[in-house]
Amino acid sequence: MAAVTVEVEKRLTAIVGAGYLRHGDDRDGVDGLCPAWVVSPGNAAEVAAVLALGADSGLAVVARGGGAHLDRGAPPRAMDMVIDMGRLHAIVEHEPGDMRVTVEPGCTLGTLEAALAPSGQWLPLDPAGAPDVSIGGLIAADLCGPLRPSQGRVRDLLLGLRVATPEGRLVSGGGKVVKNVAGYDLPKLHVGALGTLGIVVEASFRLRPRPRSEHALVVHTTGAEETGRLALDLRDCCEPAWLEIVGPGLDPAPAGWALAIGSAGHPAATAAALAAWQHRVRSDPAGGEIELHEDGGALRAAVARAGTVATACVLRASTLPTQIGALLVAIDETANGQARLAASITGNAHAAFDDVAGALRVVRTLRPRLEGAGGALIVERATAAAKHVLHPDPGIWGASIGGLALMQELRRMFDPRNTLAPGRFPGDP
Amino acid sequence: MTASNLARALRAIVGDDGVLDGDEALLVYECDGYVLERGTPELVVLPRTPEEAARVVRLLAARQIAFVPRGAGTGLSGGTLPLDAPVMIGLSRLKAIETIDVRNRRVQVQAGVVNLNVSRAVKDDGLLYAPDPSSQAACTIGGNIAENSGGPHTLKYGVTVNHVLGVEIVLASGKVVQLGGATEDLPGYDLVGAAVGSEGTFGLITRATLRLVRAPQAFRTLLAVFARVDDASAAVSAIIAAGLVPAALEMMDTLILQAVEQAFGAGLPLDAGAVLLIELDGPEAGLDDEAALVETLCRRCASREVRRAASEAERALLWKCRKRAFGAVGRLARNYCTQDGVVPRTQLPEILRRITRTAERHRLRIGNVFHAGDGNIHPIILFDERDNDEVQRVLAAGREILEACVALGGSLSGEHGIGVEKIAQMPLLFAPDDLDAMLRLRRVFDPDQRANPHKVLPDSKSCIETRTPRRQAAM
Ligand SMILES: Cc1cc2nc3c(=O)[nH]c(=O)nc-3n(C[C@H](O)[C@H](O)[C@H](O)COP(=O)(O)OP(=O)(O)OC[C@H]3O[C@@H](n4cnc5c(N)ncnc54)[C@H](O)[C@@H]3O)c2cc1C
Repeated sequence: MAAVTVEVEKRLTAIVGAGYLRHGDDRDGVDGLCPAWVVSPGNAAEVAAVLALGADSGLAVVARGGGAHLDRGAPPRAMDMVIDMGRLHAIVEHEPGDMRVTVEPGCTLGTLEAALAPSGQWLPLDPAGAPDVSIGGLIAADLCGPLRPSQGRVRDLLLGLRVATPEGRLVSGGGKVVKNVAGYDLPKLHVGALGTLGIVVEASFRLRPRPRSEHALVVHTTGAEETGRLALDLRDCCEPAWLEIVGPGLDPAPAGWALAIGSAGHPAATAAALAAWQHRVRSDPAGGEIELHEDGGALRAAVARAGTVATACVLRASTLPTQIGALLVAIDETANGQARLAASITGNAHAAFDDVAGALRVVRTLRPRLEGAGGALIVERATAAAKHVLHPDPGIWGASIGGLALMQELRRMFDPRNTLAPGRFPGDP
Repeated sequence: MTASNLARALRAIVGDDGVLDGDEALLVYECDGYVLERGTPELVVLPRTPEEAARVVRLLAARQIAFVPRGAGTGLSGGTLPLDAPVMIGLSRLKAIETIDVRNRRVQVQAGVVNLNVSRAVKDDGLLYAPDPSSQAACTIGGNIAENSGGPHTLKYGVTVNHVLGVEIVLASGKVVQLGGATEDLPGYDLVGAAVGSEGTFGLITRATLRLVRAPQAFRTLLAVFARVDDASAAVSAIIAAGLVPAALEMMDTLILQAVEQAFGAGLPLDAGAVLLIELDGPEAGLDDEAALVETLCRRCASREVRRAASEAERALLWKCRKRAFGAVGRLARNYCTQDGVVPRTQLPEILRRITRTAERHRLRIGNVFHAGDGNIHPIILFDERDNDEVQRVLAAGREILEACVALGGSLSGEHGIGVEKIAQMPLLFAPDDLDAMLRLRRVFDPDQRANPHKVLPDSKSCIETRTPRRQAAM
């Protein structure tokens, strides 16, 4: 073993203790790379010290929360060390009267939800597989689910962050109050940054009251284009808490196209909403059979997974809400019906592929069109083999990203030695 | 290059009437809504289009001249005060609403569009632009974005950053960048989120794409009257604890009630210690139920009376009182200074008690009219600017209140920004490493710090290592 390696190991052990350092193996692979070390620091100061040691030693470092979303982004150029955040999993502070919670990144949404439930509050972020999602992954991958149109995304709920930097500092931004414009909004930069600007060690979120009731409908429809149009009509008829379009082959409409629409809040309001939507659907030629779901939350959790599970890769397309129907048709046709499709009323579609060839065709054909119209088409996640096919040409991220030069400069300012998952983010060398 | 030379070059871009350089013409620009410090730029440039604005910045970049952006000048933290910035760029002529997309609920506007005009333009389509600062009849979208402005209804709907999808910024280098856009979820870092609230220090915002929301179907607007401020604070907590999310939850104390009543004669109770203005909105179904619950909760907290606006006219009158409260205070004193701080909601009673003590200690009259549901306080300090001793006490009281906010776990500003006013207090809230990270972010956008220099971040050498000179006093 090279002298430098021995030295690094010695110093890592000194920081975290021998029991929290091990060599990487099959479980730790990311995009085909295997780290030399997996380090599990026990507190924020240790995270900062480990990261600084990595940076000073010229190592490539990847932070890991639950480990469920490491297949996002372009493949890192190198990965010498994984910093596992699992030991930082505390709910630091929940002040119900302030509707705010401060938590560590290793805490899962499921644990948090259980802790918040007695107060009648929740963090209304409901990505696919929510209970197992870690807070660190939630922030780094900017995960959200069906509730997004009414409750917002991570950026709308995040109040403050504490982040370990490659220089070994612990930097705080934002705060713990629900309204705050003191200084620049550093926390926003880390949302969706895939851990490339620092490692989150603590986060504060605003909470919302859990709605008293949540009911939903599934409406079976005739095709993607009509479903997109009907979805907007229903939104305009009565504002939903969430509204998702689901393509054939997926729960809850395995046979054909469907939309799932939910209302949450005062029972009288949800009842009125469901009645209004049913009335509207019955007078619409695209509207078919209607199923009523008393447990709207359960349906929502099922719908959140639609289009996100695949054995090869998942693409995410972004367009305007009015274009969502046409987009789904275009993906379906280009993929020869091989993609499982789902979309949100916000204009974002997921396409899940078990065969990378179809995905490649969709990216090549549709990305220029979407980007030309101000949208995007990215490879959201993929197996190492699929990434090999999709990257660097046509690429994970796409060609036209507004402000790319600023992003590169930001990366240089916050991670001068390109320590954090080098190569993963748009514009990375 | 001499000043007149520069003026000539700028006039070639923006037209003869687009450059102001006479003392008299510049007087209006000597301060914004923060009147405790004043200073005029050498020139004010008023481009007519975003493209002209970009040409102006390019010209300044070539000559390495710093500039300060200005919208309507309603800012309350001195953000438009020129410090080492000879040129002020006023955006008031960029007032085109460029596209309205009703079905996608998007609007693209130029930076000088007045906030209220956005909502007016889409009213007939049943939509509105949610952030509603009380100054909304005057302030511009560019200023709102720069300050990340809030307003009474941001309790439910969120502040500016939650409604801005894209911005066009002319960097100090003259380069024009498009960040974000009409489509959500574009790849890359959230630079839009970082640019909102950057107080003009990232460059000149010239265009923005905003999200619109559906106008609520129905409202219930209530006025709950309390003998004591403490009881009103308790009612705020009770309403939040009950799981209600009112659209707005605003408090006004005795002093403000007197000013507002004098101005608008809305029949407000002059002997009350405080009133809460509470608005519930949304679909009609269930709204009466929630209003009844609010009423019960207020009465349980010793509210002696809960009124309900019976008509749209009554609702409008109540909101007029609230939104014009700052101006109405002008009747009570020659000058007033509006403070802006935040505390965790549970600390409202404590901060209000501390404000009372501060007022007594400094022999000042302080009124409170604020976004109680957000814990965002606005103590309004009355004074007479001719009395220098009193001015000093106003400054001291303001500092004391902000220090109390920070000590209680809050923040230096909920919506008015740091500007020049609070720059010295930034180290109370942020450690040197935090401020250094902010400085790096600033340098990403503006390496030479030519866009609104000496704002937001303290640059005295004691705080953080930097090569920029100390802020020069402009009084
Ligand atoms: C009576 C009154 C009530 C108010 N109520 C509220 C309230 O309820 N909520 C709230 O949040 N604020 C409130 N304010 C504060 C103020 O109105 C807001 O901060 C507003 O957004 C400022 O807009 P403006 O166009 O006047 O900006 P200005 O005052 O002209 O400028 C403010 C800052 O923004 C920068 N800036 C302006 N335009 C641009 C641009 N195009 N590009 C880059 N930087 C720019 C300036 O350099 C300056 O730093 C109130 C003010 C008054 C006087």
